[in-house]
Amino acid sequence: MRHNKRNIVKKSFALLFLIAISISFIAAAENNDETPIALVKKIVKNVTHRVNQDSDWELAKTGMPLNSGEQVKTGFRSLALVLFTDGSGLLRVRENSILNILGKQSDKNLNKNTVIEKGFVGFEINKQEAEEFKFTTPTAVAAIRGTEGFIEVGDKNLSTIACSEGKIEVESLIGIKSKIFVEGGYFAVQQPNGYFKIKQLTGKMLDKLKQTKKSSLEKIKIETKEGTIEVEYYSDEE
Amino acid sequence: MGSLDVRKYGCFGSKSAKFLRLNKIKEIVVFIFFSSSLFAQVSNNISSVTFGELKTGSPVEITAQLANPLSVTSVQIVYKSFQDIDFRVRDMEIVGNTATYKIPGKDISAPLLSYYLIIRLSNGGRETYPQGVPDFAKPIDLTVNNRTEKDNEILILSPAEGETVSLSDLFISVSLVKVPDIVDVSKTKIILNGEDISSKVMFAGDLLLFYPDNFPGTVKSGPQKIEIEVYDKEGNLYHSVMRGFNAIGTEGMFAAGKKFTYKGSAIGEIRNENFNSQSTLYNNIGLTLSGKYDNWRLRGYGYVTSEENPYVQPQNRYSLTLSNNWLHLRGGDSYPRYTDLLLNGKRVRGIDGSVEFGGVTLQGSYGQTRRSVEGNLLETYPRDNTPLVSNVIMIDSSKYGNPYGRVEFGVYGRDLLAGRLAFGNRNKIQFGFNFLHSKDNVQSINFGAKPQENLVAGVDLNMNFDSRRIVIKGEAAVSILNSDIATGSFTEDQIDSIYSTEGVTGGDAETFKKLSQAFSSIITVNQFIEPLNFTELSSLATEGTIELNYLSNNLKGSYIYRGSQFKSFGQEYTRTDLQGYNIHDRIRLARDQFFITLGYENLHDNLQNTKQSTTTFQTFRVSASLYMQANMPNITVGYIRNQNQNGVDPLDTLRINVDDITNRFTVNLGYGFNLPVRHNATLGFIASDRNDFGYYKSDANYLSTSFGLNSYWTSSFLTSLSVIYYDSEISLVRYKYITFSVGGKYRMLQDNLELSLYFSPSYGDFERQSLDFITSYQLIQNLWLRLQMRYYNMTRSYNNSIAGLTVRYNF
Repeated sequence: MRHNKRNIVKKSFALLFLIAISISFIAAAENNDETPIALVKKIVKNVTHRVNQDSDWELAKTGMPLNSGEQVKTGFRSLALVLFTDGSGLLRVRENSILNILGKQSDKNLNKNTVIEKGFVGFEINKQEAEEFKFTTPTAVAAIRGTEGFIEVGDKNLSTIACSEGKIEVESLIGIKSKIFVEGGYFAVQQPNGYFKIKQLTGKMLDKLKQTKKSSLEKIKIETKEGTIEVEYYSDEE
Repeated sequence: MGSLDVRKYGCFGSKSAKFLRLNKIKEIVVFIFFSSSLFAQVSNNISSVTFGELKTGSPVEITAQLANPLSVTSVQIVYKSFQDIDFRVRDMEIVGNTATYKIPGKDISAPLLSYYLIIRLSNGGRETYPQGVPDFAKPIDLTVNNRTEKDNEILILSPAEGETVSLSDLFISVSLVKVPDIVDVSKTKIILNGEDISSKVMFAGDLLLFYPDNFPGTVKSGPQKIEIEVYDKEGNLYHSVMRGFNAIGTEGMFAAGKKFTYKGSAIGEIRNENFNSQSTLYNNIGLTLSGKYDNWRLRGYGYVTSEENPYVQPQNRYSLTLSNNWLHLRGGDSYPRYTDLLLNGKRVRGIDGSVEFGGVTLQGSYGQTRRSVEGNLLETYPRDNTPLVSNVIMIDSSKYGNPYGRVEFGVYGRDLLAGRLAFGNRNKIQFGFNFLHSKDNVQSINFGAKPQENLVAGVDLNMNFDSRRIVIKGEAAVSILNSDIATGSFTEDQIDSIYSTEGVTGGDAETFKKLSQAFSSIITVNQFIEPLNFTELSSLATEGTIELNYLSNNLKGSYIYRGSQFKSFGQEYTRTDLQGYNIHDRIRLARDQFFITLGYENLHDNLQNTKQSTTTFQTFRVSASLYMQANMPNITVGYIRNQNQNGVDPLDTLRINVDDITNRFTVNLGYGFNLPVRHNATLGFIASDRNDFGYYKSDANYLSTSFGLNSYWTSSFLTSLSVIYYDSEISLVRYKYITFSVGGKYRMLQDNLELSLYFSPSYGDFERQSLDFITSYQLIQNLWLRLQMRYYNMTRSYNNSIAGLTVRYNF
């Protein structure tokens, strides 16, 4: 009985200790000691975010900071511009995309990994010195050292990586786990066996790159006998 | 002082005549110098010049306030960075009483930017600011700060520089993740338009966020300036950065759902000027409009002023620009930029456009660079009683009664056509071909002299490697100038006649006819064309630059060759007859806190042996700049030694001996401190000593000292104080003065009313008192009224007062 009491007391202390630790962590988090790794610079239409996999999706707002592990989701015809707080670059998250932004501080360097679950993301990344900048898709990892281009997760989660400037190191995570380099003016399309085919950027891909940069939504109203049709489209960024 | 008697000094064959001529010229120059008070830092036509923040590689806008806008027809800025070979001459845009120009970032590098202004007056006169540049005064030196490591540590994530953002989307975000541990992030101040808004800022670790939505009224539509001040743990200022952007209300944004959307502003001004007892009223209106349809953008600009009159060059300005992703088309007044040798920033009234498609860029400009101004017929003469003077010309006797007339020459209208075809990407490798053809319209006036024609063709190359760590640039151009096309091209009979004359050598009549037929379609071929011999390379100009940015060094080497006869009407102020090289290195040390610049330049003239001797111009430059992280002043110390020599024996009485050395020292200090409010102080010294051992013996030395203090007492109240002391001795004549300037700005009534008052007296050899009062008031949203009053009293010459009212409306 006495032994049980001691156990209860010990467990109570341990529980209190854990609660205290948790509270202090929560307090620390609420004190905003952690520097967000990114923020949402611009939102077009329906963009949501959640703090982690277990939380609910909530509407994102312009200027909202993003901490490591937070997810961003864009809806139909929607767009989010995401800026990294170390000034390393900009992401253009196009419609129907989900990405998870991860970051780890190492000394004054912030190593970033953007996990693209699905969709299409354009990027403009400044030259990285000591930091890492990675994109991870379900089937590939791309390491960036200052470049422009886009990454698309398409059918069967296969990845397409286009590079307009700079150089990207890409490693397949499926099948033949090959490592390739995609240079400016080229794009790589992943095959079901994991292998990447590298091709020169075609007119279609160049158009796609150009489209990636458009971030201002315009609307045209067409009056018809049946009623008004609204057509939305992206125009050049202001 | 009368003009030179041409007949008396018309023959310079003898040594004594040459001596007389030189002494006479010297006398005239000295007379002009003293009679018009040509000294630095003072001007009858420019009341003030303001620059934005000067930082290596960042563009900056310069604004000159015109004291007497009615008397000014054009203003040009002449500038160069510390290590540049040449001054660049660019037209400034005059609107009302201000002249502006934006210097591109590529032209600005630390530690100094030297500049002066050339003001052309409606009475045909010319003045510089400071007066007497370049012969009797030196250009003004401004300190250019380097982009330092600290600039890269303070990241303003949003808004971007110059961004236009709607108030509903606006937020300010500053990241300090890169600052060192000595910084106390919590002490950071964010100052928006002079108001400290730090208490309204959210701190998320090293990220600072300000949402105007949470503080209605904090930001109003219009241009905005934010300043971020970062402090170390001891409370000393570590570094500050600034950014400008535009905020507009939702009504100003291009609204979605419309096919064509627009915005703009209209401005009207009425101004009265009293110059001594003469009073003049003038008015001007301006309109800017921008619209958008799909991917197309339209921009319009119009400025109409009562100063416009047909006897001077145009004062009104107008333009309409249409552009999209691949096309840029502008009608009206434009300032096309091609290459430094061909055409760069000159006003052209006509059409200017470029098309960019894939790796091909095509650019073209066509229009008038000068409009015709008719001359005056003063007197007519019969054939047998015509004086032999330069302004007596043949006239239409059936129209004017006599075959000769004495005239006041007018100005021919001048047309220009330019084009460039380039291949490649300008950020990587681009190769271009360019040309310019410009011709005076002979029919445009009745009384003119020597209409001219110019043809220039060139190539240019631009290569960047390893993220611009290696930059290679080059361009070359050849020109043909016809200095008198009044008589047109030679006819075949005239060519036969020339070759039938005894003693004419060099080719034959048939070859000349073939050449004339081939070239007369593109340029007038007659005896006034130059060069006559292309093999001497007298009309060739070429320059090449290699820049290497490695190991904290910015090493740049340039070579130039400009033949004595090179001429482009698109770049009329290019210095010719010059060959040589320039090499300089800017070294960053101590984590970008200490900069050393070293440079050497060696140039010489007389490339085609057209002068009696060859002068070598050698310049050695060195400067050191200290930007300490601690709370200490920024210091830049510079030294320039310029030596010109032509090797002529001082005892040689036939040739002029050039042998002079100028030593120039500059010290500039800048210091921001809190006592108890924020102050920014600057202190500058320039000392120059020229020893002329040559023929003219024109020794010159001067000392200029300036001190300025801006104090920010509250977010709505700032004061300025400055003192300039100038002391010179040029050719044994002493001139000195001191100028004080004191004033301030005060905003009230929720920032809708701004008052500013400045008083600036000068004492000594230059005596003037000036008083400026300006008040601006926002009557209703987007409608501003501005009243400006200015009074100048030149103790020894004139009084000048200006009162003006401006109304501005944004829509």
